[in-house]
Amino acid sequence: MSYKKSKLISTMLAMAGLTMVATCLGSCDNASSQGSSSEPVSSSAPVSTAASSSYDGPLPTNDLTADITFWHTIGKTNLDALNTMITEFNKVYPNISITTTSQGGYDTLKDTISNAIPAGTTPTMAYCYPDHVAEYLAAGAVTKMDAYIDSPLFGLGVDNGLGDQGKEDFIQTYWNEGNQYSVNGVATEGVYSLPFSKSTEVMFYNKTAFDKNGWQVPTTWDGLWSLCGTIKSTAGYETVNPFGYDSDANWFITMSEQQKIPYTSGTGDHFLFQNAEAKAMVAKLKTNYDLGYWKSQKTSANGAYTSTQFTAQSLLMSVGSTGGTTYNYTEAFETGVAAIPQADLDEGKVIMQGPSVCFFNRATATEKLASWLFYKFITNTKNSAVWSVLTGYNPVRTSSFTDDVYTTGRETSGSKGLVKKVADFLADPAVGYSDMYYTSPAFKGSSTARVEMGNLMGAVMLGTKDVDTAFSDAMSNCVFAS
Amino acid sequence: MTPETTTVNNSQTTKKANPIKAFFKRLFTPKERIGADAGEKNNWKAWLYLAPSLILLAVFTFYPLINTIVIAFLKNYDYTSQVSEGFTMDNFGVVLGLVGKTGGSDIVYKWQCIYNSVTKTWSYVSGAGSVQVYFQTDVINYALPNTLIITFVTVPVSIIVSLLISIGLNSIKAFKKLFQTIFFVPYVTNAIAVGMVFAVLFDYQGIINFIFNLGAAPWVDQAAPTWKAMIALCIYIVWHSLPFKILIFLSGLQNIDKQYYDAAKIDCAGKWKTMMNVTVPLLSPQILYIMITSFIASFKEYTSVVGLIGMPSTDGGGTKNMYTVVYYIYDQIKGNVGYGAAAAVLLFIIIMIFTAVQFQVSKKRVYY
Amino acid sequence: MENGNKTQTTDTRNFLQRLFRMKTAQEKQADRENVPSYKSINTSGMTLVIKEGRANVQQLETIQKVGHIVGTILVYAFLVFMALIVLFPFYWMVITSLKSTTEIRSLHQTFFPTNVLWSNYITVFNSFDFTTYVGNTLVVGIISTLGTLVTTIFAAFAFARLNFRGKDAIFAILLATMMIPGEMMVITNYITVSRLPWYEFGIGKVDGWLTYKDSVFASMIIPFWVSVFYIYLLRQNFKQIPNELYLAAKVDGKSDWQYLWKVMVPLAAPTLISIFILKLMGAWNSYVWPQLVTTNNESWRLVTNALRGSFTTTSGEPQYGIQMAATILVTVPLLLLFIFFRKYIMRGVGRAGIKG
Repeated sequence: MSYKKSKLISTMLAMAGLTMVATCLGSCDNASSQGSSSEPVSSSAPVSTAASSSYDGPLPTNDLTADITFWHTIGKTNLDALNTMITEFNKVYPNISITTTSQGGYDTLKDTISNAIPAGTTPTMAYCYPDHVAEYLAAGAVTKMDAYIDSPLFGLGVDNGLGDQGKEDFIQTYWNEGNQYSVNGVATEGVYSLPFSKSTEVMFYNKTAFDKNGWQVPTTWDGLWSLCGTIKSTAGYETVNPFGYDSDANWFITMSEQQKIPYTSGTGDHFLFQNAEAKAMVAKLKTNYDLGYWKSQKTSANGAYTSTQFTAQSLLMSVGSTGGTTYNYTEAFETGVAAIPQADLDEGKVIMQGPSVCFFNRATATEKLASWLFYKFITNTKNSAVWSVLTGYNPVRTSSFTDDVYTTGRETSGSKGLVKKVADFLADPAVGYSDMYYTSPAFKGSSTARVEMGNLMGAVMLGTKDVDTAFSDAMSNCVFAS
Repeated sequence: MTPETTTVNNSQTTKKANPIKAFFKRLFTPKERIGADAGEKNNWKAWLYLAPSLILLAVFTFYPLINTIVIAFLKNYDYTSQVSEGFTMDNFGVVLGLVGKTGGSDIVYKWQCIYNSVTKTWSYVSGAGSVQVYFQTDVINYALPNTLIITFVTVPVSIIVSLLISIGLNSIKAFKKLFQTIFFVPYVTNAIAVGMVFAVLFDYQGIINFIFNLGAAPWVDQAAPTWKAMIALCIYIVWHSLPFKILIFLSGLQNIDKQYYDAAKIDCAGKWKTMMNVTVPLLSPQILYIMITSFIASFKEYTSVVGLIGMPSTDGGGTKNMYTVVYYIYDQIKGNVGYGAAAAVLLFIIIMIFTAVQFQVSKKRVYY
Repeated sequence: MENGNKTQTTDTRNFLQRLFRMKTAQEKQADRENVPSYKSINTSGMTLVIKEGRANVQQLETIQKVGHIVGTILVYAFLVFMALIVLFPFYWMVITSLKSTTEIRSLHQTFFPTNVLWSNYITVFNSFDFTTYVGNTLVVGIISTLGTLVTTIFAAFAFARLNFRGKDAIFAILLATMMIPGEMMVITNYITVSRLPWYEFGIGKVDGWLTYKDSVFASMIIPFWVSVFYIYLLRQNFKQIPNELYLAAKVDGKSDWQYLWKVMVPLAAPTLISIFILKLMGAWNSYVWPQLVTTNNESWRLVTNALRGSFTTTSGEPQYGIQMAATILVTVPLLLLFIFFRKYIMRGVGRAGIKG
C-alpha cells in the first residue's frame, strides 16, 4: 500500500513539475521576446532630418507590397465608407491588402488587444483610446511614430499621392493627446497614438421654450444656476429639471479642468482629486441637485439618458456627446446648440473623446510603412470630412471644415439637420471649440479614475454617501487599480 | 464448554485512528466491487480510457489552473508584458482587507495603521508624517457575503422547484410535450432580453410593485436597498437555472423502472409517499450531481448580476454592494491580475471544502 | 330423567347458569359433540360491504377519484403558473424585436409595441449573413459535441465501472477543475493556442498541411473536447446501470468494450442526447473564446459574435430591436432541435435485460 501511494504521489509531482517548467519556459520566453520588441523600431525607421540617403528601410513606391490588419469598432452602418476608402487607397497602392475586422465595442477591443500582446497576435494598426494605449505602452507593444511623422520621404506633409496637408493642419489639441504618455510615473517622449475621429460635448437646449419665455442661453456655471432658479419659479415649469448632463464623470473632470483643480497626473502621485476644492465643487453640485436643478444619467431612474429625457421635455437643457446628436432631435420642438457653460470665459475647456489609431511593434517594417500610408490617407482632408458627415463625429483636420463635402450638400431637416447644425457650430471659428479641447493624462489606471469619478458623483447626489467618504472610496479603488 | 479464546492481533486495535491518514488511505484504495476486477490488469485499461480526456484537460485546464495559483503569489504581475516583481503573499492580504496602499502606492499592513473613527479613515504614521491608507474591503464586505447568500438561497429553492416540476411533468398525460418544450425555453432565450425583462418587471411602476402594492420603489435601480436587489437577483437566478435542472431530472426519471411504481401502488402508497420513498431515492444520483454542480456554479455566479443590474452596485456606483467574488475577479483582471488570482485561489479553497462536506453528508443517501 | 332432588339442584344450577348465560353441563357436552359442520349460507340476497374506517368501497372510490382529479388539477395549475413565468421573457424578446429603438429607449415600457416593426426582420435578413455564421457555428458545434461525447463516454465508463488505483483522487482533481472561474483560464489558453507549432497566427502564414482557416477552427473546437461537467453526469448515469447486466455480459463472454457500446450506451441514451443538445447550445452561445481566436477574419466568427457586433449605431450603442430580431431568427432553430430530440430523451428505457 505505501509503495503504491508514493508512486502515485511521485507521478503527480512529476506532472506538476513539468507544468511548472512549461510555465517558466513560457513566461521566460515571452519576457525575452518582449524585451527585444520594446525598443522602438530603430533599425528600419529613418533618422528624422538627416539626409535621406541614411534611410535604408522600405520606400513608399506604388508597388509596395504588404498585408496589413486593422482592428476597429466601426458598426455595419458605417463600414461601407471605410471600404470605399480602402478601394480608393488601393488605386494608388494596389499591392497593399488591408483586412479590417470589427471587434465589437471598445471594451472588447481593449480586452482582445491586451490578450493579443502576450500571445504575439497583435494587428498592424487598431482603434484605441489613450487610456488603453498607456497600458499597451507599458507592455512595450506600440510603436513610436515620430520617425514616420517627420520623415522627409513619407512624413506628414509629403503627398505620396494621398493628398496629405501636413501636421499643422491637424487640430492641435487632438494631436497633442497622442504625445503625453507616461509609464510608471515617468513621462515618455514621443507620439504613440494618432487621432482618427473625435467627438466632444455640446449643450442642446429647447430653443422653442427658451424663445417663448425670453430666457438667455447661459455661458457660465453661475449663469446656469441662476437661470435654473428662474426656470423653476416660472409657472408651468416647477416639476421640470432644467439642466441635464449625461456623463457624470465627464462633468466632474471638465469642471476640474475649467477651475484648474487637480485631478490626475501622469508623473508623481497619480491621483490628485481628493482635495478641498474638488470636494467643495461636488458639494455645491449636490446643493443644486437637491433644489431639483439638474439630472444626470446616474441620478435618473433606470439610468436613462438625458437626451431621452430632453426629448420627452422633462429636461430643458442637455449636455451630451456629439456622437449622440440624433438622439436629441424631436419634432416636438426646435433644438438649439450651444457651448457648455464655462468657469472662465477666457480659458474655455471642453472635453474631447473618440477613438485614435495606434500601430503595433510586432509588424515588419514594410507592414508598418503600409499602415502608416493608409492612416495618412484616411485622415486626409476629404476623407476626414466624409467620415465626419457620415458619422456625426468631428473631423481631425481644420481644412476639412471648409471642404465641400463638409459644407455643401447636407440635409438640413430632421435629425440629420441637427447633425449639420452641430457640425457648423463646431466649425465656427467664432465659437472656437477647436481651441478648447483638453486631455487628461493617460496612464495605467486612468480609466479607473474616470469611472470612479462617475461613481462618486452618483453616490453623493443620491445621498448614499457623504462627500468625504465618496472621495475616499474613489481614491481607494483607484489606488488598487494602478 | 469452555470457549476457545482466539488471540486477536492486538496491533490493529491499539493503533489510534488517525482521521487524516484514514482519509487518504480511503482515497487511494480501490473499493471492492462485485464482479469488478481489482487487479493490475484494469489499471492500464482504465488509463487508456481516460487518456484523451486527461491530455486535453492537462493542457487546457490543469496548466491554466497552476498558472493562476502561481500568479496569486506574484507581486504586480502584468499579463500584458508577463513580468512581475517577485514573490509575495500580499495579494491575499489585499483581497482580505488586511494589506493596504497609500496614495503613493506603497504597501502598508493593517496592524501598522491607526483608525480614526471620526473621519472613518486609516492612516499610517511614518517619519515623513501621517498618510492616509486605503484598504480594499469589497470582498469581505460585499462579495463574499453576497456569494454565500446567493448560493444558500438559490440552490435549494431551484432544486426543489425543478424537482417538483419534473415529477409533475412526468406524471401528466395531456399536453406533456408542450409543457416539456415550454420549460426548456429559458435556456434558449437571449441573456440581454432576459435582463431587460426583469428590469421592467422590477421597475418603479413594474408588475411586482403593482401586484404587491408596494408603491414606486426601485428594486434593482439606483438607490435600491441591497436586500431588495438581492431578492430580485435570486429570483432571476432561480428562473435561469430551472431548464437545465428540469432536463437532467426528466432524463433521470426515464431511468426509473416502472416496477417500482407498480410495487408502490400495490402497497397503497399515496402520491406523496411514492414521491418521497420511491422517486426521490431512485433519482438520488442525479440529485447529487445537480447539488454538487449547482453549488459550484453558484459560487461562481457573475453573469446574472451583469445581466440584471449591469453594474455591481445599486447606489449610483459608489458602493459595490452587489459584488460577487467572480465579479470582483473579472474586474481585477483588468487592473491587477494578482488580486484576481488570489481571490480565485481563496474561492477555490472554499468551494473545495464545501464540496467535500457535501460528499460526506450525502454518502449514505445516494443509491446507485 | 333423574330423581326429584337432583332435578331441583340441577334446575337451580340451570337457572343460575341461564341467568349468567353459562352453559349447563349438558349443553356443554352437546356443544362438544355437536361441532357444527359448515353451514352454507345463502348469499344470493346478500351484499358484501367492506369498510375501512367508516367508509365503504364506493365512497373510497369516489374519494380516490376526486383526490386524483384534484391532484391533477393542482399539478396542471402549478405547471401552467410556472410556464407563464418561464415564457414571459421570451414573449418580451419577441415584442422587443418588433419595436423601434426609440421606443425601447423610452422611459415607459410598453407591453405591446405601438408600431409593429416587421422591418426589423427585413433589415436583419438583408444585412446579416446567416449562412456563413450559422454554418460556422454548426461546424464548430457538431464537431466539438461529437468529440465531447466520445471522451465523456470513455471517461465516465472508466470512473463508473473500472477499478484502478487513484480513481477517487483523479476524480476529485477533475471536480476541482470546475471550481476555478473561466476567465482566469482564457488568457493562458489563448497564449497556449497561439504557440502551437502547427500554425502561426500571422496573416495566414502556415507551415504544414493545415490552412489558416482550419487551424482557427481547430482552436475553437479542440480545447472544448472534454467537459468534466458532463463526465460527472454520465458517470452518475452509468453507475445506475445494475451490476447484474455486467455479470450477464461477462457470462456471455463479452469484453468491456463491447459491453460499453452495446449495453451501457443505449441504456444511457437519454442522458447522452441531453448532453448533445446542451453542448450544442453551449457552442451556439459561446462568445469570449471565438471572439479572441477569430480576430483576423470576420467571416469565421460564430453566431453570437456576429450578433453582438452588428447592429450598433455609430456611438457604439446597440440597436436592441434589430438585435432581438436577429436573436430570434437564430434561436428558433435551437428550439426546433430540442423539439425534435425531445422524443428520444423522454422515450424512457426499459429494463429488459433483467429477469427476477
